[in-house]
Amino acid sequence: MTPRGRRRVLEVGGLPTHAFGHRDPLWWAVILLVCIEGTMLVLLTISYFYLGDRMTPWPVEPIPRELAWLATGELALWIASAPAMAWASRAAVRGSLAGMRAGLVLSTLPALAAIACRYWIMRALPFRWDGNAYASVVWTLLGAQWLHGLTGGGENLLYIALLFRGPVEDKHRVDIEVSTPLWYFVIGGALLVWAVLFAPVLLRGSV
Amino acid sequence: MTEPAGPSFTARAEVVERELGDDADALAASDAEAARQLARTWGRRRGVIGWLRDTDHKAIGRRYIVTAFGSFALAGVLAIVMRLQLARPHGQVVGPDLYNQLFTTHGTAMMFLFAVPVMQGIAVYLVPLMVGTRNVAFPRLNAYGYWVYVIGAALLWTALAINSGPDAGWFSYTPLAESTFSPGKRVDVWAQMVTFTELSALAVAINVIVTVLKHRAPGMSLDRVPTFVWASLITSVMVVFAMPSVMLSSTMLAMDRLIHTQFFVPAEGGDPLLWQHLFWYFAHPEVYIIFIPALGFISSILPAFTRTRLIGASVMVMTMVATAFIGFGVWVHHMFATGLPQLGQSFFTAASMLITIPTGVQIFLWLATVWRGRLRLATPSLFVLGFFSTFVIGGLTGVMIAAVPLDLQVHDTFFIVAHLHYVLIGGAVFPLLGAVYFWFPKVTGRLLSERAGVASFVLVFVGFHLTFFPMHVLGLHGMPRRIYTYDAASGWGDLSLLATIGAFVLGLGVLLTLGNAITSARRGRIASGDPWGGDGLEWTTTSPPPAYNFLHLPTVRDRYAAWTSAPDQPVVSGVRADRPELLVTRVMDAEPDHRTELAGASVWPMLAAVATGGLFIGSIFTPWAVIGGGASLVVALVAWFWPRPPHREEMLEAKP
Amino acid sequence: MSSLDPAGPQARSIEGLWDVFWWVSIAVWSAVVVVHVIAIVRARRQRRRWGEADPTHTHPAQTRRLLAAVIGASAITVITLAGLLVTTFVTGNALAALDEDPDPLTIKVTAHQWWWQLDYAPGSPDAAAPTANEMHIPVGRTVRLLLTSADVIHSFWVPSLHGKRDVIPTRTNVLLLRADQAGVYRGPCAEFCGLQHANMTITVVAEPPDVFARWLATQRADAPARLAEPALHGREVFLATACAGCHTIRGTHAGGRLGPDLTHVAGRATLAAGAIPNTRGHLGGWILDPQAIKPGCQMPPVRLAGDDQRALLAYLEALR
Repeated sequence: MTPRGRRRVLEVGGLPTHAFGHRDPLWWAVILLVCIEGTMLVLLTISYFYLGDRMTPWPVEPIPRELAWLATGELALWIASAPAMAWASRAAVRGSLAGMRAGLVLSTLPALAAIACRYWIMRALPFRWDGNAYASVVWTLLGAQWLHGLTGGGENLLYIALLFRGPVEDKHRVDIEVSTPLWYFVIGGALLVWAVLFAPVLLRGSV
Repeated sequence: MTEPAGPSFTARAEVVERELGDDADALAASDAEAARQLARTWGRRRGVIGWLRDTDHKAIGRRYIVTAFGSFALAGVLAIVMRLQLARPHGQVVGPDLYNQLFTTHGTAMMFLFAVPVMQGIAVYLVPLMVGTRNVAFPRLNAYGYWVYVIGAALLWTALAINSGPDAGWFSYTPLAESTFSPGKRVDVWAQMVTFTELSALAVAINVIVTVLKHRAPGMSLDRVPTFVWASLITSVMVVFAMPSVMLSSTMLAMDRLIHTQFFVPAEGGDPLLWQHLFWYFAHPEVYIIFIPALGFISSILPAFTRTRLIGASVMVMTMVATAFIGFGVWVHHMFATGLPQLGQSFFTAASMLITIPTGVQIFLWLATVWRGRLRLATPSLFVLGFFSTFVIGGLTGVMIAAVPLDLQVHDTFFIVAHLHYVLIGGAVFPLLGAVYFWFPKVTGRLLSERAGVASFVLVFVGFHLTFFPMHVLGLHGMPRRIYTYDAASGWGDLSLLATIGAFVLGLGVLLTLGNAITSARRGRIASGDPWGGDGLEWTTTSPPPAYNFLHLPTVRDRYAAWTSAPDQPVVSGVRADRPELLVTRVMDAEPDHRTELAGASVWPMLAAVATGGLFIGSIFTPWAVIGGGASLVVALVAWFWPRPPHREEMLEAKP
Repeated sequence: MSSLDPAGPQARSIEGLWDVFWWVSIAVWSAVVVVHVIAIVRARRQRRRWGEADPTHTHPAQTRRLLAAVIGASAITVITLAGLLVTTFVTGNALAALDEDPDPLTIKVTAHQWWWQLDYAPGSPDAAAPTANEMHIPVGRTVRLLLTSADVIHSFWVPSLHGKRDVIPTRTNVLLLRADQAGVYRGPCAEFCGLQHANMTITVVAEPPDVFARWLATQRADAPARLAEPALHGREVFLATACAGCHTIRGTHAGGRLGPDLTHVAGRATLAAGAIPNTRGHLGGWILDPQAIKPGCQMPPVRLAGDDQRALLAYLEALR
């Protein structure tokens, strides 16, 4: 029995006040968000193929090759943003303010270009969303993933504002590091959309 | 005293024996000072603004529970009106237009505004207490979720009150729910409300998952996590993978109606069955999202009332996981009558029968526990006993409708109405009412009246079976669901009348519990911290718990933490009391990892919810609401995440 | 109108399956109730004798026995379910046995909000016999229903003959059934389809083949042309008012397609998809104010002068 006036304690005062990666609670929230949005994107893709199974001809109105090439360029922009993001993430762990700034700016610039690119693609589509079920699902797929890009880009802009305005605390470094998976998810989504909607257009031309 | 079989805490966090003063008085004085500081840090400001800013999980949980029971009562009133209409052939109480709104709103409210939110609200309240921490991982997200939910609830009930209640069924099958066949705003209300409230379900799910994984008391390794916490965790994971489906499909439906996409319009290549797949892929897991927390209630109530550990607690957890997994593979049994290929149907029949195995094992384990322990009869345990005899009937009729031939006869008849109420009321609401009697003293500090509780149980139990058992027979005799009238020649009149009488008895029983709760909250017997001899950490703090939950954050050495705490069980020290700081532990073994500071109370989550509500509700009337609502939401989010004044010691020294 | 009162091979095999499930359910439920009642009684006795249990005591020997019992009960559950699954599949195959019939009677069934359009011999216009809501079939012959919908999803269900099959726009579902004994079998629409879902009944009249053949010949024929007063005047009223815009009467120039074909309406037992019996009083009330009987239905009220009304009723009653 502990004597009066004494207490057995587990002393955690010496533990750090931040940690990176899966040790941080926010990392888990980011992963769950990716699960939620990912499920939505996958179900939308399944709906695309499900409708394709019911409608002939499919695609009802083909996407022009020029747009498919433009989409390929957009995808390249997204992919180009990945290494910069990885750099920013590593800089956050190191605690290098300059690295974080450079990485975030260098990943956000191509992303903004890609977002603009997607906007042009949607405007240039030869059909509107209300024409038929095919048009609806194409527009929704493009639009939903575009929204992911927009929110990801918006979040980056806020981080950039914070990094340049200061004061930057340890927790912000963690925030930047743990939201990296979300960025990769946006890039993955762009890849999915390209593979489902645009790659077949380019392949069809070559056979 | 031998060393407690505790965890080996990490090298950086050590168990030490600390001198806190010469005697007990000094110890008490230091505790009192700590309590004062914690109360300042975690307590909420006074007044309406303080109430709106509150992000305490207990406040949010209470609000969820109270709001959900409000919807439960209203939806129950709708049920009574429907039973009056069907009591006799050619009923004249309501017409078809109102009747369709009634049953649609009843189902929608019970599923989206009552069953899921009440389970989630209880999880929000209890999980941090049960894992021994001071708040959920993301308190502002938690508050946001609640405000979104309450706006969604207000939307549905207001719509019904102004004769714009949804009327295409809680499942809104297309093309009936398309604007061609359902003009007006009724189905828009449904679609937006669904997308909207699921946002709140996701907010809770994220919070519960991260709280359970990262904020457990040191020593609470995964094999020592209480069964209810496991149930909440599993449910939340299901929410993460099920809710996106209904949010996607209801968004598609809203777009079909508002901006003329053609997802489910047959004439333009859209497919009504796509809607059914997406809807049931969500809606069947939804049943388990409601049912698995109930398993957690029973597994918490039984040990306290039998005075013995649960037999096979880890098997219980595994069966819950199995149920969750299989629950995602049975949705097509709602679509047997649509004429899908037979091979696919056989697969879903097999899966639907398979899912009864884990449920069977759960029931056997509880019966074994009752057998080994010495069950004390009181309202919470009575409701658990009522669960056994009732839920088994629902399970058995569930096996029947998994069989395609039987389903083809009873599908969309009153047999299904009976089945689903046996499963949802017998399987979830009985344990829920038991849980209300069990945890009410913890939440309010006062006990519910036991005499009223027993009377309420008897009325609910008898009334329930009187209402719903006859419906099996009605269904077998060809009475379809969702009809507002029937002919005397059908022969359905007598059993329908019996069901109506039963509904009044059931309603009286529920009313008795609601009245009991309202009066006991003010005048009930004062409850101690642990009125039942419970086994969880929640019973080791006062009733009601202080804003900071625990004066000393606990450590744990067994699943039944309160029963097995050693006399010199160490408590956590070194978590700051002057900032809202939580201990972060490791996922698997719950060893201390680091400390983290939570965002404090804020009014912005509430305002962000209002902006979200404006976006969704406004979009029913004009697409511009998406722009306006979106812009205000961005503003609210920026304010929400605006950095607090920095802590000097944590700043990165490099300045621009 | 009961699934437990079968009049065809499919409904009969489903009822057989139901019996199996019913007795298994009774056995399982009784076992659970008996065990939990014994457990409660036992617990009360033990509490009285020894007081509260000590929750920290784990009773290892008893727990092992109880776990063995749980495993045993689970094994029985698995075996029972496997048995039920096999029985289900066997019944499923029995239901599909009618597929083999080489010469079924084909009827196209088109569901509308809120009535059933029936076309005998679809695809051969000269043999066409369009009718509505009352389906005659010959006893002992397989009937092949081609189910489709003109608007929303409905579900075709005649409990005494077979389970239900959904009726979905732009799809055609096939349902095979057979009646083995003569009789009148009713079935409600079994998928919620809007305001008048409650008043959308299909009536199936199973009759001996020769009676059926006579009925079908009548349905193929045009409406009787030789009419006496006041029916003759009634026909003029029909053709001159809104009636002809929505209803077809073959042999006249009334060719509306929104409502049921009325060429032989007097031969049907009920009106408005089973909502009311086909008597003069009900028919008159229906024409005057259909919204009072089936609120929300597509038919507008037709107000006529007393003479015109009487003549119209006489005409419709002559459409045998």
